Amino acid sequence: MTEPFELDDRLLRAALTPSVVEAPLDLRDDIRRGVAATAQRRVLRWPVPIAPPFVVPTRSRVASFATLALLVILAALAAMFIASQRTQPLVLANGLLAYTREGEVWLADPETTDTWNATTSPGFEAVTTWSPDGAWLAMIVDHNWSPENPAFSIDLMRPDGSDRHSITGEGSYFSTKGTLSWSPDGRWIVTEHTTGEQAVDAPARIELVATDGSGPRPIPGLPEPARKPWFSPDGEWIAFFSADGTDDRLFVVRPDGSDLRELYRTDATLGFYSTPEWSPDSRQVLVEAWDRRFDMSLLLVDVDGGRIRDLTPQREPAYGAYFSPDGRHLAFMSGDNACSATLRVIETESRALVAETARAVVIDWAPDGAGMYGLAAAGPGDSPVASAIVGVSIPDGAEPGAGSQATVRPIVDLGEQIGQFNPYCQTPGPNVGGVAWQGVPR
Amino acid sequence: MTGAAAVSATSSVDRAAVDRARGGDQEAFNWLVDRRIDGLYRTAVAILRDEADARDAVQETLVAAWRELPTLREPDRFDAWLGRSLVNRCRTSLRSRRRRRVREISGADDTLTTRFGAEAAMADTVSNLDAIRRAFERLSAAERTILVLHHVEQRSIAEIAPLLGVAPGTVKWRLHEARRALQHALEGEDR
Repeated sequence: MTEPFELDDRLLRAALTPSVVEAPLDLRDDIRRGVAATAQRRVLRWPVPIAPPFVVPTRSRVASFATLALLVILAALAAMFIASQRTQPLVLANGLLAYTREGEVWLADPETTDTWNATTSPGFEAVTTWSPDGAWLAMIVDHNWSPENPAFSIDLMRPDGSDRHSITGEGSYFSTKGTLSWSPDGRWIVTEHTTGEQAVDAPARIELVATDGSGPRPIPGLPEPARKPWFSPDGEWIAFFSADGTDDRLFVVRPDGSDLRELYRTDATLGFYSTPEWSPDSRQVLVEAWDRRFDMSLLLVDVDGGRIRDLTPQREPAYGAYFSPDGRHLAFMSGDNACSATLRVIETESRALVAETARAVVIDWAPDGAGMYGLAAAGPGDSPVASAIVGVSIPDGAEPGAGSQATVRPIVDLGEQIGQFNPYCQTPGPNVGGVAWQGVPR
Repeated sequence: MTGAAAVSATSSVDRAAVDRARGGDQEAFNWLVDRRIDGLYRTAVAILRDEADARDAVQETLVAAWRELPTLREPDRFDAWLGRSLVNRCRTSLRSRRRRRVREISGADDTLTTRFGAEAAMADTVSNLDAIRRAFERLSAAERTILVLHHVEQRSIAEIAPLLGVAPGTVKWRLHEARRALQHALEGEDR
């Protein structure tokens, strides 16, 4: 019997590296004989041109073209189905939930559980967030659905759908997997301007978009690519990520481009998981970073001085974290594999578990801090797929360390599977590959 | 290069040989095989922990590669294609032998303990190495494969992703899951 010990990378390699150095000589001979005895597969290639002009269609050619046309139609329908699966709920302000579904913005009233479609435009609305006062919704709109002819804009509208207008004009790429973050005074939105490429090291710059319609402007002097910008609650800072080919880096900068600070870096092959999360006092930034042991940690980094505190409560990946409005609690997802999701709430200072519930993911805290909104699996079973928007409450009297069961209250049953809690969960089913769920929404 | 299978981008010299082999030149293919077979064999042994099964997997992979080579659309991806084929065969082999008794390969030989003497001493030991090997035998095919690709072959996340046909983020999750499974299996060894 051996004493328990920690797995060390070098020990692991030593244990698993086989002692053999070369393949047996007779194996080479066997392969040569096998190759000599095996005919290569013949590949039929289309002659060029495929067919001479003015050929009278034969019955078989007609059938081939009909089959091809049918396949094209089916592919288009499949693409529409996948697109219709994109749902990115978002919560904030004024008592209403806003989320995008099937390329439209939807609203839900948590009190009445009523839902309604707030947009009916031909464009594809992919990201939406409330203004700080709840008077406006901002959204990223893909007008053409065409990589060859991109036409994106950032639009604003009233919650009742009125007064919709663009604050950017059409034409640029604004990442539909990116972020829209309002300044606390509602005058600016910070977002990322891309070329349409999705790779983490693809070109991207951060732009401030004036909500009065005077246009977007890049923040000067920032490293590129720069992604996932987010305003601090006091509006004094913007946090963002940048990849330099070797490392992924966390920065903060003043909105005018001054006082750029690199707070943390990690190996680019490991990287960060989602968007920087500010502490309510704007003095710290929380990031989720993979380490070399392939554990993911919640790291709280000071804006002044760069002190780093690991908030990970246990050795499970912890990600998608949100501070409660008073900063006292932190809600996040946790699970030992990508297909399990447990919503956990800890006391920030002590890291003690306050409440948890399985098969749920937090979207954001309710403005009063009394609970959270999230996504959950509506039915029984252990599906890793969410299908309902829920309210999540910490039980009265829940004490740190007790780990009480959180109360889950359905708000909107979306009536369909809207995607894995974790986009990297790859299970058979309609949402294979995390197509539907584009990451933890912020 | 830790092995021929570790090559993911095919060199220009090899590219010429791949083109000739695609056209039916057996000598060109044999030349490609000679440069890769040791690495492929080591990878297979590491995953399967059985030399006979590894031999079968490598032989089947290479003969099938010869047969299917004309269908390879991107010759520059020859090594990635070959590596993916070997990984799939190893996983199939592991699944098919679930009911068979596994002949354990002795890894604690002189070569290994010499190469990794310092690490072994730090962890106090050959017995820990043996415990890891026994725990490894209890892992799934997918868990074994990803641990070998990263920790033995020392492939990067970006290299592993196309081999397994998944996103880089998924590779990270699977490495986490495999390491956790190994840790649990090690704890089982302690009982």
